[in-house]
Amino acid sequence: MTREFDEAFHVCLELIREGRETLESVVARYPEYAEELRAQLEAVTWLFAHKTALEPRPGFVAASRRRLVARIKEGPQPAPLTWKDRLLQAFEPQKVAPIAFVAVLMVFLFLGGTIVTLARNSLPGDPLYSVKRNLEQIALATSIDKSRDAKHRLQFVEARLTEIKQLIEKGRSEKLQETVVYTRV
Amino acid sequence: MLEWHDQDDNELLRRAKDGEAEAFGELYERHVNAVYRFLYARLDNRLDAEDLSEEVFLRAWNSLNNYHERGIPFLAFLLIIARNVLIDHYRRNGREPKQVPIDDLQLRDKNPDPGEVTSLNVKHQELRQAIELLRDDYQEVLVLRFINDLSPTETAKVMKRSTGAVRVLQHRAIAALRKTLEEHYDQRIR
Repeated sequence: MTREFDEAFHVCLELIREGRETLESVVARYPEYAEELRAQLEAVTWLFAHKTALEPRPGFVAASRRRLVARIKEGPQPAPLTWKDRLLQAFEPQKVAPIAFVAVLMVFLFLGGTIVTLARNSLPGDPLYSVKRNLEQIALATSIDKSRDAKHRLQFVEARLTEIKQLIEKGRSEKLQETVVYTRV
Repeated sequence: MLEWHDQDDNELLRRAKDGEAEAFGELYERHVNAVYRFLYARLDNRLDAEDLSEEVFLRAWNSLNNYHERGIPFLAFLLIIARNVLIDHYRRNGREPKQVPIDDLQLRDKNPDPGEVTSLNVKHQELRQAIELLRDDYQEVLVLRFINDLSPTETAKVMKRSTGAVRVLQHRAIAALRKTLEEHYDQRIR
């Protein structure tokens, strides 16, 4: 069975089901599949013709509805919905999952961006200084050519000099020696 | 007075989950024909189909809180229960056909037309004899697709298979039905 045959079959089926065309006229639309389509559609129309024998007796539906409702009322009532059930119905997991995924992703991106920004302004001895140094190492490791690598190294030496200046201004001279070592990028 | 037929299925389900039996009664009236057809196509007598249809809805009522739409229409939920009810029925009673006299079938019917009743029973027997020779999954896909008029996607949900698998199964089932009809009922197929 090819996809094309399946599509042809469904087009024919709908036209016959809606009573818009006969089996012969729909089969004529697809001469390349005519034989197989006719065989399948004849079997299906045979089923359609027998559907009428499967309808409930007149009066059954109304009578059994009354009987069912009475049995339900007599029997134990279903447990009332818990807050968990109501929550699950209001926020069906399949619908909520993509939204939750995007929300979590945005939180991670926001936190990541905040950490990177704070790290860029950190000085030796600050908790995020190691993040700043690691980001610099990553930038160096991923430089695509020598000129860019040299540009990065120059930027980082300038950053160390700025850090030394800020450490002196803040009176944190105990980190000066360490920072001087870091200038050897 | 509350007009139940003005309410959509979701509203009726919400009310039924809150314990309103009448709302469930309206859902019953909307969907019982489909459930009945599904069962009667696989059973030999009308009374079993009627009893089992009611059982399907009673089970549905008792497990209503487990039904969260989640892309499964309520009819598909009912037909999944109907499958299980049918399996339980086969386990209890086997699959041997139980012939029920036509008179017995009409005991609850007020104005039976004997000619029409006989014609319908003959048609039902033809259908039963043709499809009961097929594999269970062939019977099921034929009934769901062409008796219950479910789409391939809805059929896939009831049968717990992929839509693609249902499409392939459907064509194989039709071919098998065609072969059976040619072998046993060639004069009746056209």
